[in-house]
Amino acid sequence: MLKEYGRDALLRDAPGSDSELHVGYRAEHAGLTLELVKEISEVKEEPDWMRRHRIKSFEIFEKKPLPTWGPDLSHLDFSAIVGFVRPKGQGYKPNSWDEVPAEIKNTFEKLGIPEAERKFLAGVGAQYDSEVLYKSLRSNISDLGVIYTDMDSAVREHPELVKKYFMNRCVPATDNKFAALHGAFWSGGSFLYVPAGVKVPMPLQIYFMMNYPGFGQFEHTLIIAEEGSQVQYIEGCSAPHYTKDSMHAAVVEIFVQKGARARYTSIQNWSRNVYNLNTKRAIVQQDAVMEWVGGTLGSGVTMLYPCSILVGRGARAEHLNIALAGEGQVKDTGAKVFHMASNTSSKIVSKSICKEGGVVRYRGLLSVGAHCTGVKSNVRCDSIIADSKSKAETVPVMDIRSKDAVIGHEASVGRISEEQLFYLMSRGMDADEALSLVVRGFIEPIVKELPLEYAVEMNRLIEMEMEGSVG
Amino acid sequence: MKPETTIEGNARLLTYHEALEDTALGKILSAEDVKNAPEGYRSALAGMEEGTVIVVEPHARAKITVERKSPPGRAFGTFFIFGENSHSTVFYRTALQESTRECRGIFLSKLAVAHCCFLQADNEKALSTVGLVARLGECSQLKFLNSNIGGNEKRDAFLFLQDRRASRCEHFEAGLARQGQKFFLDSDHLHTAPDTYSRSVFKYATAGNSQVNVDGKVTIEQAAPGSDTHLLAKSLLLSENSISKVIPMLFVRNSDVAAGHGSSMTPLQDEELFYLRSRGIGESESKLLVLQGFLRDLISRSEMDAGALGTLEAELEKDAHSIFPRD
Repeated sequence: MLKEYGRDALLRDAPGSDSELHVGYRAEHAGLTLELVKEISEVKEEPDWMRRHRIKSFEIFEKKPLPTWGPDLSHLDFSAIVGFVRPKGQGYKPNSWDEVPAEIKNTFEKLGIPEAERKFLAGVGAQYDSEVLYKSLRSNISDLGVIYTDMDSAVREHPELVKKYFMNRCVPATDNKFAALHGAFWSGGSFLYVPAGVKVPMPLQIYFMMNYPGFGQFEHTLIIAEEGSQVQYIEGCSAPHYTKDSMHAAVVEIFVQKGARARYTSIQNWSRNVYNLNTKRAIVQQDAVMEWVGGTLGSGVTMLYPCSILVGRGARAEHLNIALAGEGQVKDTGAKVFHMASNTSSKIVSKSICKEGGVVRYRGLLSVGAHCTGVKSNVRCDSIIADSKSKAETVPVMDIRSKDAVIGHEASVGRISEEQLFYLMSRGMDADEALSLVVRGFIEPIVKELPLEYAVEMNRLIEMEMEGSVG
Repeated sequence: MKPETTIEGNARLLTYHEALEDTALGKILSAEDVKNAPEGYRSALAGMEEGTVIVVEPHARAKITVERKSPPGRAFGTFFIFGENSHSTVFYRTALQESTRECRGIFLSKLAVAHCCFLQADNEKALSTVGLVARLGECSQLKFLNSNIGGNEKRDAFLFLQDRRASRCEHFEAGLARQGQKFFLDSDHLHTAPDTYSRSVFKYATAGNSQVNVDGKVTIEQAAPGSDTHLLAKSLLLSENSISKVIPMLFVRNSDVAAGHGSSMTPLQDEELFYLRSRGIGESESKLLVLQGFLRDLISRSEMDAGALGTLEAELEKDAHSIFPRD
């Protein structure tokens, strides 16, 4: 949850204080090399299977080409990326917020993390550069058997669970170049295990902060919602602006077992020189529900297509996404849903806004396998172009191999309606207020799905971004 | 071999080489347009053994019927040039027995109006590739209906260039893919002038193990404010084994536009079948009626010449009967 500290704090473009002060350990040289892969594994004292997994992933990364489609990644220089930075204060896990080093605490306090925890969260975590620095879970939730910890601790404390699910069937390292890169250099992230039948009453949250120039953050999120369970997980991402390009290549794997319900919410507000290249996927079993809610506001180049694989009869997926692209930003986002069982259903809603030369692109895939009957899906993607320097594109792919599928798709691209602005302004609103109201109406289907505090902040961020866009 | 061509009104039939010798016509047909043209157009033009050009004179009205039963070579071309302020209807039917490549050109001068209906009812073993370039002059209007019924594998790629202001282009595709047939349809509308208007509607029914791929692309460039476009793709799924793949793409670089696309894929609806069955109509006949209704809706919207529509509907009905024989 963000807190109002003026425009700069919210937009994350304000330079941080001397980031070197926060560094406890970092890779000696920039560059993503096999030596660094081994070094990370050694520093983390990982078991042999994880070390082998990292090395194998690195080999795949070297062989895989960059995607030949999508945004231009030619300026992405892997040799300039610092692959591992451990913040000061790491090595022990603070038991309370007060024990977190002051200079790091200040950053997160600006983001409202301790306040969020006190107010309404079941659990909260904070990752600073490569490692999770602070994580807490309310005792009434941990008593139910819920495990919410950082991935590094999970590898040590729950090896059987991690080994069973980690990058083998949901997002294997062979999936794409950035998944392979992630498999080799991953560090930090969340491990969330919800036992069968447990309903976590309040959201669990983590906040990711990238604070080292030219850094590559590769946090891994693994969520397992066992049969009949319910959980809601929220991620926030932020980075101050440095002159060197940074990179974020996260992997999110979610297993939603029979009858379970999981909601993954992500509000991304990286600074504008971050390459945000993530792979997020869920495997959804019989009668289970997976909901993705996303706000992509920051970063320079984003490639993000959350994916639901509906493998159980009656499984359902819902994808809601807002993307906003301003000057120099390319948002190549979308959703993928694979209907691989009968009576599965999905809904995709994407809302994009581009301005000042920004590019928003919806890229989606909807696939219905042969012999899957009773499949229903609806895709809606709308874009607003605020000026004629910007670009909006939609590339939805629908591959239907079943007779008994009802698929609907609608898209629209246009500017903010002058009639609506005129109507509001004729009732005494100024141009910015009218614009704000129209934009709020446009993104309302997604914002209403966010917890109240997030919804307020999302509205404020978009309002600030849209300021002066009329006329 | 020249196609059987019937011309009513003020229009003339030329060979491609004769047309190139005419400075004005040669300029229209020149390679300048070929740069953006689909691969199918360029390759057929390069390997063209014979080409036919039909020219409608300025301010004239013409009704043109072309029927091709045998191709003049492995690659051939057919071009229509509509003079300024002319009004024409075209019905072009192919019933080819061999695999071919064809390039087609439709060039509309300022204020020209053309209603073009293309029916491909080729031999069931024929593989054919068609590349089409349509260029619309200022304030011109093109209604273009293309229907694929026959053939084994069809690859159609269309480019609609709207680089003159206030042109209107409506593109309708209707077809029925039966057992073993594969249709690959690639349509590209490029708006580069202000106040241009386009509509694309694809309606395909897929039966047996057929496959229909529709790639519909609309680009509105920055130089095309006030443009209005919509693309709609509808598939009627008649079989478990058919494949229907639709990619409706929009690329918009101007804020002053209205752009949208929609698509739907549905099986035969039980409610519709129940309604017909409850009125005493047999199962196969009911399905046939729904299928015909699905395709006829589009055909009637195309506002083509009554004779052309009659032929097209008869062909579609014949094909539909092969899927749902009368009870």
